[in-house]
Amino acid sequence: MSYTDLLKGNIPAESLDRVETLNETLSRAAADWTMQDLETIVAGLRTQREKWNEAQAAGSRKLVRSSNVAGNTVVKKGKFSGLAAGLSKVKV
Amino acid sequence: MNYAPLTDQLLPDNISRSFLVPLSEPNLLSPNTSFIGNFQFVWDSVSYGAIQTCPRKYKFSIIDGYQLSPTPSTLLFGIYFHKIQEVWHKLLAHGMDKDLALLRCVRLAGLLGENLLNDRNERTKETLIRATVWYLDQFKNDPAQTNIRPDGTPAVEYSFQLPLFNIDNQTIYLAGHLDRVATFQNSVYLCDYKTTKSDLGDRFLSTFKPSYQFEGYLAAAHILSSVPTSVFPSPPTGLIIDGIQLGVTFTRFQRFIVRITKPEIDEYLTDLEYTIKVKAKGYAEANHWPAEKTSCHLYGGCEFLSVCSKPPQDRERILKTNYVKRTWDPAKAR
Repeated sequence: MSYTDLLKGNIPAESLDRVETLNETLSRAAADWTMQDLETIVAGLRTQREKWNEAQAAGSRKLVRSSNVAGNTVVKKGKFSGLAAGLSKVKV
Repeated sequence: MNYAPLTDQLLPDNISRSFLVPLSEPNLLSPNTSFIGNFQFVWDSVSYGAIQTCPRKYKFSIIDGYQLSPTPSTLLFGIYFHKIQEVWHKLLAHGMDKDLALLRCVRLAGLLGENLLNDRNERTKETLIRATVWYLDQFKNDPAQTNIRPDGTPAVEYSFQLPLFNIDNQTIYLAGHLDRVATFQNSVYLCDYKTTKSDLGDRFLSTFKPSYQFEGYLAAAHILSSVPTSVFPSPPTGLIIDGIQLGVTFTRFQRFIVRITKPEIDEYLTDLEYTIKVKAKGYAEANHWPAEKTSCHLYGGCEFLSVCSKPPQDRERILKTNYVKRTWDPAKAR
């Protein structure tokens, strides 16, 4: 799959593994998070807050766990290595 | 290893740069410049609180520098949350867009959160990141605006060391670090963050007054406000305390305003002076630090309970085995 294909949205179904939960994204090493991961974490936590606020407003004591909130879409390794490769580590 | 929030890089310790966040605690042990012999002449709220709680605890923790190892997550989580807030304000002062600054703070929260012990469900990497994102979302446009120092930097982690009085020709200083100085509704406030797993109700609020920490901060701020070039255009009105309730799956915030009057501050300074002249000086001259045994079992038990519950001849061995030495030096600016 080429970068152009990806930009056009021509993503073969087999290229995509599955959607991570927020819990899984958070459990990966912070040094390896890409910009997309960081944006997904923020979006996921905002979703969690909305759901928690709704539960509170409804008088529910329901827990909104990060394992029930969508995190990042995991692209299978070898199919496409994204633009960002995590946090740069400067070696001296 | 250090994190450079401006460039989103991890840098090894041998690279020097002006704005770096250490990801581990550097220099655990260094000469303590707040002491002459075993007499302390630079005091902060931690050492004042320790000697008032128990002179022997003061000896173990401040003079000898023993601390529990590894650092409990109840303590480390708060330190990390403060550091992330400091970085947030500094990034904004550098002109960084708030959305990008938030992502840098999330990265930092993740990096720091990986150091937390997994001993408390409400104080983990995940809850640190959640507290960061939810707090910065809630206070993105904070009506309490951070004051700016004369050099243009934001008044966060503002270190002070002020001369108070003399004992035997030795000047005694009050030192500390103000988390943030802000202006709210045309008045100056000192801001702080306090995390808890309990409710943010009246009981939580009552823990802030009386308080060695906050009365000391306000005393310092009153003194500093008399200096023309200080960050205080007027004496502070009080404290803004952001209470942060940590749950396993949620975080709740409540902002409190605490006022402490000038007579209360004067009383704090008088009490501090007598404590140093009578207790600290007296114990230092006698080189004896008696235990205050009514404090042993408060707040879940003193961190040195396992030491003091053993005979005197065994204590040094227990300290060396179960604790690390980490210099607590109020004279050192952060």
